[in-house]
Amino acid sequence: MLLLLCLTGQSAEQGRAERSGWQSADPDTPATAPDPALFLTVTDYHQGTAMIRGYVAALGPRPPVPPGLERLPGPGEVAASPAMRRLLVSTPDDELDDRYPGRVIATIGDEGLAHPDQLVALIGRTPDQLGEVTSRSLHRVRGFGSLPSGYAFYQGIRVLLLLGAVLLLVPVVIFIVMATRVAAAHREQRLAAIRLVGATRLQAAVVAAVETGLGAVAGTALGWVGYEAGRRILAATLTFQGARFFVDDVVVAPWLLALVLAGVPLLATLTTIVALSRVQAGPLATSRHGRRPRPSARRALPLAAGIGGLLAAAPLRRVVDSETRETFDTLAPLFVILTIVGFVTIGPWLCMLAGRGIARVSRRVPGLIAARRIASDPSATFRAVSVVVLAAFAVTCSASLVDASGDGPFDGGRGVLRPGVVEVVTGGVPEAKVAPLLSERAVPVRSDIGAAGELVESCTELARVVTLSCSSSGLAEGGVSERAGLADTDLPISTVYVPTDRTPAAENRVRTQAANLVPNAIIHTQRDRIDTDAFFFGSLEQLQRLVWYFVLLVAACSLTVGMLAGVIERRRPFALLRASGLRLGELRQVVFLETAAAMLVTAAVGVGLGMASSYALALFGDMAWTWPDVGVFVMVGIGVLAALILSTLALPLLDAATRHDAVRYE
Amino acid sequence: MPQILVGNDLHKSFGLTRALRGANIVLDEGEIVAVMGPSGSGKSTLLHCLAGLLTPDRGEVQFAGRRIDQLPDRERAHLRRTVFGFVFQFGQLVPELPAVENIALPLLLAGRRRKHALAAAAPWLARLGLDGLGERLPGELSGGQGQRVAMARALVANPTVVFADEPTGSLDSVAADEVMELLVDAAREQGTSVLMVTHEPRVGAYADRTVLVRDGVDALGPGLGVAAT
Repeated sequence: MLLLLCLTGQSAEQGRAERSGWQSADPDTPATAPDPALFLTVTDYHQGTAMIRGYVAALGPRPPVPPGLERLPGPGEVAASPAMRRLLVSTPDDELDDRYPGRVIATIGDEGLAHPDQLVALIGRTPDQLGEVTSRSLHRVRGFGSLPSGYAFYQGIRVLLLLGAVLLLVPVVIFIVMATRVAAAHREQRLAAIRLVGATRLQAAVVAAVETGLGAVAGTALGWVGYEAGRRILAATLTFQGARFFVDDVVVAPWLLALVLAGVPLLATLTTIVALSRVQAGPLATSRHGRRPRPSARRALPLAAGIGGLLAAAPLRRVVDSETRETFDTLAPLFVILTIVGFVTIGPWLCMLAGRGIARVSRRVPGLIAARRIASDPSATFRAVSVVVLAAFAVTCSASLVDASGDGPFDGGRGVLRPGVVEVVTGGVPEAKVAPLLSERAVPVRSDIGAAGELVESCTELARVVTLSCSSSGLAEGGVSERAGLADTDLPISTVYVPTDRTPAAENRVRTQAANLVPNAIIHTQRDRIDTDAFFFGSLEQLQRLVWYFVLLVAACSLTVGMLAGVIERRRPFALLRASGLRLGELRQVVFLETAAAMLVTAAVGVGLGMASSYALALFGDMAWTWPDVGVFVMVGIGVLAALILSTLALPLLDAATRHDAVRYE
Repeated sequence: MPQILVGNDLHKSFGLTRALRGANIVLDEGEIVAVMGPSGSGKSTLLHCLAGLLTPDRGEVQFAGRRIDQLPDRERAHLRRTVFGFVFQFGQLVPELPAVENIALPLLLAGRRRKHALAAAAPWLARLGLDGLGERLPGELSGGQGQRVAMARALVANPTVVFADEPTGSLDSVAADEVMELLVDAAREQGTSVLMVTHEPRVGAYADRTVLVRDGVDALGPGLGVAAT
């Protein structure tokens, strides 16, 4: 079930992209109708929420129709999404409704919406009305395809999601492997009995593999049923990029489902065979090697190569020519992979060192047994805690980079707008076109095409509405220049900054007025920009949190299984220790410490290495780096503790497993 | 010799199976007693009741004149870790701890400092012929060596009574003799009483006295037994 859930993100995001693809149709979109239509979309905002405002004009009797509609809205008609219709009803007309002139004649169906709450409206116009718009976004289209024009961006998100899914798969696979190994250990005694009656090693292995396979098939089927039930709840509650999902989006592709349903039992069976190959299943009993090979300091080499490679390449990358730099850039993923692999390989070595260190200083029996256990089989110990530790590493690493990217107010290269100011970017229209916006306090910016720059009458006035670089002595590079007497020129107005009384209602009225004057105008307040900015990084952080919570859930399962494995494996010695007077509480301490000590040490190192890796990566890529927010450390700390607390659910079984019955050897 | 451990009219059932039906036994200070009998006769159950691992359904167990069968589990656990020692057939060593730490375990459990506990455990290695094997893990020892480590662990804290349940059950006759000689010698040297369960007459011969158990009752009557010849 966990495996299917983490594969769902891919298809969910793809579904969104495909259904909303028509909203960015252009002339390259494959034709689906004999007659063309003029089509223009603008991203608008209402109190920080993005809305799609589309204009359409049929150029013939049989124009293309977007998904979710039966026909194109004609002049004076509007089609709106369900959420948009509700918003239009609940908002005063001059703030929103007037932005969509016409009668709402249709509701856009789910097939044309990215998500159930998407705000979309399609306004019907005559070809002449739309023909007046001078915008590169106005297209003549013959079809509304399923892929958005910004598909590369969506591909980027999909790559991120794929990466996330792979990262999520690792803990799930580790969990499956661990659970299978516990089961394999549990059946060792029975296998010895089978060998006693004459079965060969191969026959014993086949019996175990078949048992595991059948169990895994049943478990996978149950997981599938659970997933089918859970995905509806998930669709109703989970949000990504600020929006919920349609139930049909939260589903894995049939081929992927088939792969999981077949792959999990196969993986479990293979794991059993591998686990059994490490024990000698003889006719009298099973035995293991006394001392496992100890990890050495050589395990630190990949990590040193990964981080060291990034740090060493960073200064070189700055001084080489662009072609060599590209070669360096292709090496970056290799260093990152080396770092991650290095962390996995160094884990057992760290566990061994931690075990030895604790054994040296521990004065009580529980600490000593736990430390010796960690040191004697550091690989198994690290396997049990690796999920949480790897997640702590990844979260800390990404937090340093995400936080750095998210610093400072977003200005999009056009300055930070003062509170209450609405920016109307017209793209260059005659003054008459935007005259109603030009109140006394409004500041227009004009384009002087000949001088290839933007002009404002007074830098002081401009500074009142926006923090843009403005020069009063000639053309400012990358900024605006001051030129007196602009009001008497006929230079086109590219932007108008309209101050308001800072109330949302006043801002919305300006937006509505501007949208009616220049339909293709891009209209912002700073809040929109901040929200856009926060929205994007918020989504990344949300994704990060989701991954973290998911990993914790799987980790808690892995830890519980790991603890159980430790108990089952030593059931008899533990029972005899209890018989010899070791208290149950002390026995619990042994089992808990084995996990807790290893996890706390490796998680702390993981956090440190996560920051070191992100620092090296930032240095290499000329990116900003910052200490992760305190909240990240708190989140990691609470997560580690929560996983440990959840794993203590296995402890009550310790009592049952080590009772008097286990003392007897029959 | 004063009696150190007494079991009177002990009854114990597991579901419908009656393992003990009025068993009686007496163990004197420094005495080595072998409890013998066929499989399923209740030997191990008798030993577990006397050691406080099981609570008898009826009857009483006295240790040093004090009734212990009605003590709460915590107090019985305290008795087991302070005045009793245990040797079982196999699988009793903690697999992660080297031999010397396995031997020192009862001392550590009793709160002795690690350095002192290890110092007290070390001589047992030489005494039991385990020189140079102190750092070996149980998985790296032979069956006889492992059993000798278990023996040392049972005796290291100088217990009043050692309970041994088929201590040589997994060993060949040569190793069994070695182990029994070591157990008997060490017990006599320390004045420790030993109550061992075995079905091997060869092992039972090491005891001062043998108690035969049949169908959950001591076959020769209360507190009696066959004196070793």
